[in-house]
Amino acid sequence: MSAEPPPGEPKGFLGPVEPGEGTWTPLRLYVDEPPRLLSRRLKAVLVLLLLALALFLTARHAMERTAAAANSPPPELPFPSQSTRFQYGGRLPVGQESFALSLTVHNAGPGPVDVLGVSQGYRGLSVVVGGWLPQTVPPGQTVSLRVGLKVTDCSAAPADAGLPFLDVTLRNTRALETTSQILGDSYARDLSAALHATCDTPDNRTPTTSPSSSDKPVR
Amino acid sequence: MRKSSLLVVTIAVTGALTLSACGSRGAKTGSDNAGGTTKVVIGVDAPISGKLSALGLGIKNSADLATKKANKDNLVPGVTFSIEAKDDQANPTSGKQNATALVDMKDVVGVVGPLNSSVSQTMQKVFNDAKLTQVSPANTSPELSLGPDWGSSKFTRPYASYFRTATTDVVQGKYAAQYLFNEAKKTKVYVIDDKKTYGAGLAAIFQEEFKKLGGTVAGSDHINPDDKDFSAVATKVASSGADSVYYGGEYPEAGPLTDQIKKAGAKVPVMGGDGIYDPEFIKLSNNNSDGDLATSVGAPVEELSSAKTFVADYTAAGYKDAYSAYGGYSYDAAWSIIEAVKAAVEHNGGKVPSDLRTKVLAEMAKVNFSGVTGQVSFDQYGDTTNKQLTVYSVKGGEWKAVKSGTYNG
Repeated sequence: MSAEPPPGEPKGFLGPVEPGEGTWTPLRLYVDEPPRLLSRRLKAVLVLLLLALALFLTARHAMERTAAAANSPPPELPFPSQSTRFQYGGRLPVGQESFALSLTVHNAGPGPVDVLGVSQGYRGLSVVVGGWLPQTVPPGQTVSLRVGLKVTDCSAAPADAGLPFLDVTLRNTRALETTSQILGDSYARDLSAALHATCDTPDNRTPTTSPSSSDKPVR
Repeated sequence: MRKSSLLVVTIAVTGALTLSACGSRGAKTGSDNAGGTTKVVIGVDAPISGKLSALGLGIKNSADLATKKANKDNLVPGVTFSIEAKDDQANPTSGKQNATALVDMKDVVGVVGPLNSSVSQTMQKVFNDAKLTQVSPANTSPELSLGPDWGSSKFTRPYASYFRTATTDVVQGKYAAQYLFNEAKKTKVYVIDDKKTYGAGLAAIFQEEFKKLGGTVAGSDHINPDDKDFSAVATKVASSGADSVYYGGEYPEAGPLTDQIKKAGAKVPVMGGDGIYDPEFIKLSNNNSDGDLATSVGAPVEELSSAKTFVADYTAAGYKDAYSAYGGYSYDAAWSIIEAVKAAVEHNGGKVPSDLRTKVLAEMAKVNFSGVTGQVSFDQYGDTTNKQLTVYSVKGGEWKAVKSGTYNG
């Protein structure tokens, strides 16, 4: 904004007009453009610097995490007995055995578990597992095994199965262990029924010292 | 323009600081708001003094550790947990008095204990009448949860307020019989008990199963828990020709008993339940117990990844006494009450309900968490769904795990 000279006064002058009475210089208020603390260039540099710092910290953080992960040992697997769950899956049709059941194995752990063997403790009974062993149970998977029980000696076998269990040998990369899987009341009932069906004839329960005829089982 | 510059700078600095903070996350303790406003007390009842104090102190300390952990983690915002421990000295009368005292304390929302089934029998009704949750880490007598006719498979839950984290003698007694008969190949057993609820009940379950398997019982006897001299019974064992002894009772008597049986000339293993599974048994036997056997609740601690933190925290807490056989179960029992408190608060819009006891009891049946001893939850009778047990044998003056079993019924 500029001041126009009053009419009649010479237009133009050589030197600067000294301020005096009746003369004034308009005051310019810097309302729209305040004095800049940071120039545009400085601001840009600062932003770039901060972004670079952020990028650096992010990269360092990521590298530290990667290095820590690489240096730490792999997470320890649980013992196989603690990561597997066994269940009685019910009776199965029998072949040569006295009783057959479906045994389901669920692996809730993070690594595979091998089922190496299945046995049981009752005297006068033997176990035959259908298919093949070992069987690998992958993480999160369930495998069903066919387990057959054969009465080999009625005089030694229990009359009733109160708390029958199967001993299962398991292995993973941490441990090999044999644990008892107590399969509950349904299994106890079904096995007891099979024992009665196989052994409840009087001859079968009494040890025979001298078999009188060949068609009677020797116990 | 200056505002936008400041905004850029602020965002950049905040971002940098956030990233920097992320880098040191592992060092944070996690107890930003440990100072809760509502005091919630978990009662503990156990034999803190007397002959069974080794077990009782382990129960008390482990429950205390659980409350400290919950406070440190600020598990229930606005709530600070603590324990109130009562000493029952394994005495049923003291147990009942303690139960009444705990009921009268309005801050108590649940109770961990007791150790003894006979003590629990006097406490159950007191707690149930007050709708105060009771979680025993050690009771194994079946009738406490299944009712008096459990033997004939007629299960009726006597008290809705009763829960337990230990498995029952139904599993323990039968598993012991099968181990002794089928694996240790013992066929002639002498059965002794201390006439108490736990001991007599466990011995009866064992004896029935042992006979079913085809074994014979060479003789049976009872002892008085206050006696020190068991020489008369020891002589009978020696002359019976038994190849093994089963004892239903606890280590203060079992230790001297096994010593005296062996000194009487019967070099046979003595087997018992969780009541004898303690280092004190070996000490009290004058180290004359090598080859003796015990079943105890749970899997060996070293097999449980979940137990490692508990053992480390227990050690770091500096308790003078060992956590003993029921430490993990006591921690889980206390934690189940804490979880129920947490659920009750969450279901009340984040505020502590005025009828917290009732709400805690209602939440107990739904409790399900990964504890020291495995997954912790309760069935319709208040019994634990995690039924593991282990056979231990004394070898070289120490209990060593021999075999573990899991009930999957």
